[in-house]
Amino acid sequence: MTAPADALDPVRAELLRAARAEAEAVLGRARADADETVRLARGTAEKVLAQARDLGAADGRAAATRERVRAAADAWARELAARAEVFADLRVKTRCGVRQALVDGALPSARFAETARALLGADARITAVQGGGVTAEAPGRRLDLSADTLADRALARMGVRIESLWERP
Amino acid sequence: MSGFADVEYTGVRELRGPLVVVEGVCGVGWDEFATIALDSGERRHGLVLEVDRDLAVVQVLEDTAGMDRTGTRIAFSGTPLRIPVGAGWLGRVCNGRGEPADGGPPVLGATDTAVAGAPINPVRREPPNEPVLTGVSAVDVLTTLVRGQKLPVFSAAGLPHLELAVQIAAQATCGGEAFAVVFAGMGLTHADASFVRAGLAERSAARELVLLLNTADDPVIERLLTPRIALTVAEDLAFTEGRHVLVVMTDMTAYSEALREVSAARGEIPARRAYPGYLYSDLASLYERCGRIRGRPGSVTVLPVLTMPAGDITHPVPDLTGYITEGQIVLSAEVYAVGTYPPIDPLASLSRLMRKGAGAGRTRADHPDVAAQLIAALARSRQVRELADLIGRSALSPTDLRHLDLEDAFRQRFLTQATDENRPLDDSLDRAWDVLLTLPRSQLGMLPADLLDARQAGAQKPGEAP
Amino acid sequence: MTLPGAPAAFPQVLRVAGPLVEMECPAAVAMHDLVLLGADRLPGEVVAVHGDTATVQAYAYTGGLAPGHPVEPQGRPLSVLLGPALLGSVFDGLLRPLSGAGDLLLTGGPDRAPDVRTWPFTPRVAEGTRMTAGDVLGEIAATVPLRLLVPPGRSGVVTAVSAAGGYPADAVLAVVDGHEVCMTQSWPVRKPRPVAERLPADLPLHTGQRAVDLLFPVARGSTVAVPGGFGTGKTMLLQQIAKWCDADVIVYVGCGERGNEMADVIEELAELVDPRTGGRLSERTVTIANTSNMPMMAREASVHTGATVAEYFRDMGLDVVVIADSTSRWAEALREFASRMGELPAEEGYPAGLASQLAAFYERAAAVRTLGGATGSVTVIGAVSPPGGDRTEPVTAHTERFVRCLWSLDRDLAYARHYPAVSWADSFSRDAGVLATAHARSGDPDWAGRRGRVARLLAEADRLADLVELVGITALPPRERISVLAGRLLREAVIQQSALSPKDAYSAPAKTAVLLEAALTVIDRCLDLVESGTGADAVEAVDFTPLLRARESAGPAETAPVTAARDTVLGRLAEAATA
Repeated sequence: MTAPADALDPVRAELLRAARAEAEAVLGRARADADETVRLARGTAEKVLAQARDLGAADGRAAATRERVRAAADAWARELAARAEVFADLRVKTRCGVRQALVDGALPSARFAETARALLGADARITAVQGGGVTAEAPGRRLDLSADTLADRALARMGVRIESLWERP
Repeated sequence: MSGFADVEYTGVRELRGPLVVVEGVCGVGWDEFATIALDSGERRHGLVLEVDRDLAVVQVLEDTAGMDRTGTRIAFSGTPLRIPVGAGWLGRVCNGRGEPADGGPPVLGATDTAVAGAPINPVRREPPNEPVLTGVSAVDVLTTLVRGQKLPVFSAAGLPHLELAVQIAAQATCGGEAFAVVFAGMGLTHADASFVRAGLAERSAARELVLLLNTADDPVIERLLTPRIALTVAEDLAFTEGRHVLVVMTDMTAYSEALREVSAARGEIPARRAYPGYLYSDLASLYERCGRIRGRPGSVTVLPVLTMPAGDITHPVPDLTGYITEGQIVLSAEVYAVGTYPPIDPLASLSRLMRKGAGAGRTRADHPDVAAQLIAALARSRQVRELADLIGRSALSPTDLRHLDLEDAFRQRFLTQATDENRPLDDSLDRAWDVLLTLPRSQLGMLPADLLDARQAGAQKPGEAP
Repeated sequence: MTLPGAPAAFPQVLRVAGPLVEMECPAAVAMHDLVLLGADRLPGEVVAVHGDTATVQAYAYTGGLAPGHPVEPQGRPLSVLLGPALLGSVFDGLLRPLSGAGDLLLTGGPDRAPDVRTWPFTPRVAEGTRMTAGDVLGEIAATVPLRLLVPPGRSGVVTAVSAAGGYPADAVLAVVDGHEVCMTQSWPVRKPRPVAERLPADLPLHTGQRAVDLLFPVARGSTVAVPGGFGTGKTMLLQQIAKWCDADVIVYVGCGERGNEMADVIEELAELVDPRTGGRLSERTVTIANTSNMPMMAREASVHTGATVAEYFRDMGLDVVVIADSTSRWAEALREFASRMGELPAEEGYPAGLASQLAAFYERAAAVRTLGGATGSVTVIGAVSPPGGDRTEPVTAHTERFVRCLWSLDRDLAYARHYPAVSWADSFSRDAGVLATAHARSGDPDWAGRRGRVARLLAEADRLADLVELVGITALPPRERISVLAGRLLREAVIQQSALSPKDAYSAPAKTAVLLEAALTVIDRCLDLVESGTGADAVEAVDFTPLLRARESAGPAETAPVTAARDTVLGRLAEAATA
């Protein structure tokens, strides 16, 4: 039952390699933006603090702190958004990769029908799905072996390895 | 989650409340996690409550609204719910099921852990004996929170328990050791949820916070999962990553109501106030996940917050919580009515592990004596106030009157602090001394004489004399 | 539905709902038989058989267990292993050692480390001797001296007995009538061990807690319930008794309670010295730790496990105390399972059999003549945790009917930091009568009189306290004012006792007696003074501090500092009279 998943392993590795290059660009942009925000905030905070000192006001420190916190939160939000973008890209690529593998025959589609019949019984009704793969149905039960479902599953299986996309070197 | 392909079951026999009964299943185990696909493309999640031959009863976290018998497909994961754990959770904001709510990618982890947790072997537990400092005077000095303890906040509707919970979550530290906060919000209004996010933004950006938010309009049943995810993440951060972790869970009353709702839908025999008979064990399965383990760094400290319906401390939720936890921090409407924040009732509050976590080498050598003396003095103050209410101030002895002064001084100089004021322990203890010195020396028998001498000398500095 | 790999011979799981499991039932499966469920071999007990299915109560988390999984019937009831390895160790509710288990208790986790210890055995019979059940085959030098007995139900000629020497826990030490007798023996948890006869419980158990020993004493072989809301110091009091009472063996059952507290008591027992033996307190203690997050049904078994362990030691002629904290959590496990079984609920959802189950548990307490002719006892002390402090709830209400002593903990006393918070108004001891006789026999005929006087003084002071709140102390006649003073002196100088005090956590009978004597003497003198015309004001103004501090300044068994304190106060009273 795990054989097709193993067949995806090289696909996964290749996908991850390809994705890493693009991820660096996305993250690099986001991080530069974030750094700029933090730098600006630091400047603003110092200004606020200086003004406050001039005026002898007590809440200058609080305002400056607020500014710094806001900038740090903002920078972190940008980082997360960039990671999400990288992740979404990887998902698209994985789906394309699996579809392509089906077209190329790297994943033998005949195996899907076999698997479906093994799990649901010999009289399972098998339907080809647009984009590759099949779904199978028997009374009370259903099996989704469509390319996209398989791709999402493969992605889930990559787990923490995906984090290598956004880890700072 | 499991194999290369999951069989989806389409034989829905019955839909009732949050439950769906699926027929024709095979090899589905109790407490397994299920994913439910609707024709609309929507995905929901569920837990197996019972399996009987080829029937499975699934509790749907997002409720069964909109589900029908023909367009529903249910897949079982093959194991009870597991979530990825690791440092990747730090800095993340998620919904009550652990899905991102901060625009980031899904949380990933090197290992999966069952959210049900496993009990810590009692003989491998290390008795808690070091403090978590919260920067809140009344907590740090009078009900010291100890690493590995479970200490609830008992509140009532209209009191600022969320402010206090957020303040503690934002300020808490463990003396420079690696620290993290996991904050699980259950049944929060959107305004409250925004308040929590804003109040903890700094900690979040510093990657010291995991925030799980189930809002009031989120699925009720999802609340049953939120604290379990929080604790599972916390246990890993503590016992694998070596951090001291504070888990704040609010509002446990909202959680218990969700439990009651599921119980009612299952037609279970209710116990007190229609809560299920297993409420104690269920709450214990959460609170007991605190602790320290011999030979491992890190600790899990649990701070559940609950509102006592109608302020009733005998209500099952506070009552059973009190039986499980190691003390309680009680908020008082009376104290809040005079505008004091945090409105902690020092006499009703208690940290049972404090005697182990406070004192020389833990907090400060004078801390236990100061705390005991302050509590004793406040108890006397309360008696005097009751007496004064009955017979009038004029009939009070001079010592009694000083006790009334002490109560005022306690409120103004010690208890009251701003929601963003992070008071160092030394400051808090010095304030406690300050308050105690309102009393004549004869009333301070619990304090060591040499310390009293030193303090009284210090208090007589010019400009500071009363 | 056959799972691949499941041997066809095994019956299958049919239904799983939490701890309730239904299985196919081959004819050979009997009620209360032990079964192992699924690949993780989770232990469970057959609790009902109906037609070709049986209902099983599972003692572990059943997550992942599915219909079709195999069940292995064990052909014997749920049993525990009884032997010298029990002393000083910590077990779960099924008496599996926790010491060798991992940091986390995972279901189907790795097997626990084998016990490699040995214990010295000395035979006390010669081969060829004819013996009956309960007779002593030899002695085992454990931390508490133990005996190897002919097991219940066996009798005949001793055909073999091991020579003196050290043996592991599983060694066969003798053969009686063709049956091997092991150092460690198995016994079903739900079956009380047989005795020759039950004896009247008429010897006092000294707990070292004055509030109990003076006012609500308990006899060896009796039963006590300790109801108290949260924060009243229930666990603290029970831990004190576990540490200091003068029994030979303590079986401490932590049943659905706090993990940190268990860790604490385990650590403390290992550190504290037993004043009677000089050894560690843990060496006479068997701890059963089933914390509130451990499987609920093992909680149900744990009180029976504890009683079985106690009976094993009792049969050697030892006095054993079983402490169960808390029986309410045990009752909740009963309720939970009954509810899943679909039993008709009685009060508050508890099963109709609650009362009889509680009675059966407390009934395992007794002073007995053992099969071998020795005397031994099992005293049962059970905590009760009434929801919302409501004493009318079923567990509390039923328990009160079955026990001979009740130490009711009072929230107001606890709130006033009066510990132990044993209420003198709401507690009782039905053993007080026979124990008065026992004290009289051992040379203290006034014991009952003093107890009665203390009770009356405390009650009088309580009654007057209400009055004082209304009218003020000065409005009372002098004699009544001294009664109020007497109540305070008794409470603060005698009854209160700090569990945290190094000197006073435990109070030996001599210290308890002298403290009471000192307080009563002072009270008598106060009364004499006001009778002979000294003003109550003057008496009240006397500094009684030395008397109040005496319990803290005298060691656990010291009397001289108390007498000295008494004399100091008597001197001050004399001064007050002449002033």
